[in-house]
Amino acid sequence: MSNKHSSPNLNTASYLIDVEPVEKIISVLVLSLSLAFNDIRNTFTFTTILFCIMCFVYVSIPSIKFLIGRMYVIIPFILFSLFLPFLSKSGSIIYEYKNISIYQGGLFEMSNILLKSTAGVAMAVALSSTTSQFDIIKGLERLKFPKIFVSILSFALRYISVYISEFQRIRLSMKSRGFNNKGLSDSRSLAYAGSAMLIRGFERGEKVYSSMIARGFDGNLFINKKKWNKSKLLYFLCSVALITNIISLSL
Amino acid sequence: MKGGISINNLSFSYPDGTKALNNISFKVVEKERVAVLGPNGAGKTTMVMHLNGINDIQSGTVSIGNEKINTVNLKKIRKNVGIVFQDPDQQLFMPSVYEDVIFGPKNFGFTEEEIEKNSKEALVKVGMYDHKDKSPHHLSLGQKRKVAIATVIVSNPKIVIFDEPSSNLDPSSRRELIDIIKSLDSTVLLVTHDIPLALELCPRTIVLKEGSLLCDMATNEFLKNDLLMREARVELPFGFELHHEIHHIKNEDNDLLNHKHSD
Amino acid sequence: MHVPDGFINAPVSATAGLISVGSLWVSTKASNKFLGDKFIAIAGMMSALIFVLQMINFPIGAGTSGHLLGGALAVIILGPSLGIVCVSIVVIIQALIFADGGLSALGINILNISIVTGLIGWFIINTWKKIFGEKNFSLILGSFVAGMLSVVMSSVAFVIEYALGGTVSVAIGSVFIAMVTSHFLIGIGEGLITAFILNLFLKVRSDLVFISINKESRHKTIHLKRILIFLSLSLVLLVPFASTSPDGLESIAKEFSFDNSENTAILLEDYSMPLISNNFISIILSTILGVSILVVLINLYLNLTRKNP
Repeated sequence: MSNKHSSPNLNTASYLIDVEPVEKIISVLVLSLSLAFNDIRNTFTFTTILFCIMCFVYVSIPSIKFLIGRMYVIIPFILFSLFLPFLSKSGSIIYEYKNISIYQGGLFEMSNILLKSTAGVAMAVALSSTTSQFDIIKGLERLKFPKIFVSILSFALRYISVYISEFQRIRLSMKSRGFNNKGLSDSRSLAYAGSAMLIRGFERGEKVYSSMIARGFDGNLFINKKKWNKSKLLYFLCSVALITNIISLSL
Repeated sequence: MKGGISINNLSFSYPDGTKALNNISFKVVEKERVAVLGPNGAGKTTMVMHLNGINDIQSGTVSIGNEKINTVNLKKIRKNVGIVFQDPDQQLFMPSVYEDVIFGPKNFGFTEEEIEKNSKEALVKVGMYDHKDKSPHHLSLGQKRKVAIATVIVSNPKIVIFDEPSSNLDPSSRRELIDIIKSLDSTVLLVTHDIPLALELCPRTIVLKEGSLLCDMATNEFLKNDLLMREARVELPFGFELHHEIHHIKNEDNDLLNHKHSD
Repeated sequence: MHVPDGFINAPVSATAGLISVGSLWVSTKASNKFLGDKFIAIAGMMSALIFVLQMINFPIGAGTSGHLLGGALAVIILGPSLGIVCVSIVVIIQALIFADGGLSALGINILNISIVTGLIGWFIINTWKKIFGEKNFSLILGSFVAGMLSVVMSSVAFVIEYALGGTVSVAIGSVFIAMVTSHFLIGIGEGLITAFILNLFLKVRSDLVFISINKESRHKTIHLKRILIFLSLSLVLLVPFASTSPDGLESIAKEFSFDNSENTAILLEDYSMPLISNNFISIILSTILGVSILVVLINLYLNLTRKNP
């Protein structure tokens, strides 16, 4: 089990760290959605939005290497897209070699998928590099997400690290008793460890609830106020994206 | 609300029928410090959870400062009876230390200024003010325990109950814990297996066994009584003997001092 | 599998988003009613657990390992409303905080990974209970089937979304075969792990397992949820065709003046579905869709007319 989830890196060098989480979330949403639902053949719109995204990502991440390291989630889709010029039989045939033909439509689709998925991941990485997990949740709260949902998200985040540590301890004790993690019967043992954790999870949930009511909880939750900066750059990027979208839709 | 506790004929059974508490009665005076000892499963935690209304009272009565606990005054009771649970992860459920500490005061209706002032005082008292923006997950057990205490004392409760506060603590964290408890001005109930802790902090000891009250006497007396100790499944740490009587005296600043008196 | 940005077009993504929001809203209300003040603590805890469970590498043999999706397991243990809420929370956390799954595809991912798996799992385990009884052994077997089919239907849901709004013109037949066969294997893994986990639960704390304690209880709110979801699902069929702006593929066809009669979007006439070049596959898909709708309808009818003891 990798440790990638237990401490996502905050890029302290980025000035966006002190910017209001709401602005960052909205920027990410506006830019991701704009890019995802436009086509590379609307060249002007697409490249403008792509450029906005690159600005945002550039200001947020520490290095390109960091970003590439986080791209592993879309590797299967990248591989799939590389086959598209051959598989996707749309558009005219550009090139033919023996039995294999490359389709023009397929090439465009490949570029679409490649650019959109990588840009999408880059945006999400940029967001998590400049905003701590809980600040993202607070941003959602200020965006008037239902309070119940926000609280559940907040609790879930708080206890994910607890359970990761707990499971690592369980695995350690399993390993010291000769566990190899190879065959199907080992899956069974892991599943049992997982269910033990789930059972304890229920009990812990009840205990946390007891703690909450012991400190007066009666169903109402409070918004926390903290001072944040505003970012002119983000306003600018979002406006550009929105305007280009509107222009392209009306044409 | 004053800080006295009065439990009368309290009994409690679990949903599956097992009897956890059997007709328990005792009184605690305001600002008194009482240790609650007993083997695992004796019902100590179950009893304690009645004191702030988490466990419903099935039979008997529980009064906090002359007010009987009922369905109406629960919030007031909980403001005045703080419990520091054994597992700090259960108690620290907010994203940051600061938010955990202000959780109680916000629910109890403190004003913004009070919240800021009290939370700062509480965190300084436990020595964790510099960590106020940290996530609880990144703290050591001793630090978590201290923050858990802060989350309770921030509301200035008249009664503070500790459930196994010193378990798994290294000696210096344990000493810090003792200093914090000594500096409290409230009634203190200390559920513990740590005999020296009980002796240092509490003049009076209650022992529970299998849901019933075994004895209720001065800690000094209890620890000299081998028969009772054996019945309570309690023993002094290896190599220790009680030579002196420990007197629990408070000076003008209400700090607890322990003076040794030889017989 | 978490779908990234760019695979599914706007109308279908938006519809999926609407369905997800609607279902989440209903599930949250139902869970809140069911759990009361405890809802936040329990849901938070269980979501965290499902998240961590999804990270575990379960070895299958020959050096490969699989992962748990958990949709069926969640509804079996937590009940339909809470199960769907928890897995949705996990998907949201993964997309928003861990960059797993495109934000524009969040609606689709929630729909496929939590709602489809949850509903299918719930439907199967309940039907299995009625047919084969409620003994532990039968429940465990049922959970295997529920886990397996939930994953397979999740991939079918993706294929349907692709058929309606995929931005890529790979033949739907190939997509169907690729997705469903690979998810069949994943489904077997999911079924096995679900069964293993339920096994221990039933041995140790069967009082916590939703399906074994709630024998005949049916909340009216769950009926309402099903009706809402059914209605939204029908929207899926209507929206892409009602949309007047041409979707990506049509615009490609127009731009290149390519006479692609096989791939233009047509309404559901003669049992064929849009963007499908192979009629045989389209007939199968339509049948599956039709049968599923019928099954949901029948189930709804049975539940609404059942007398509560």
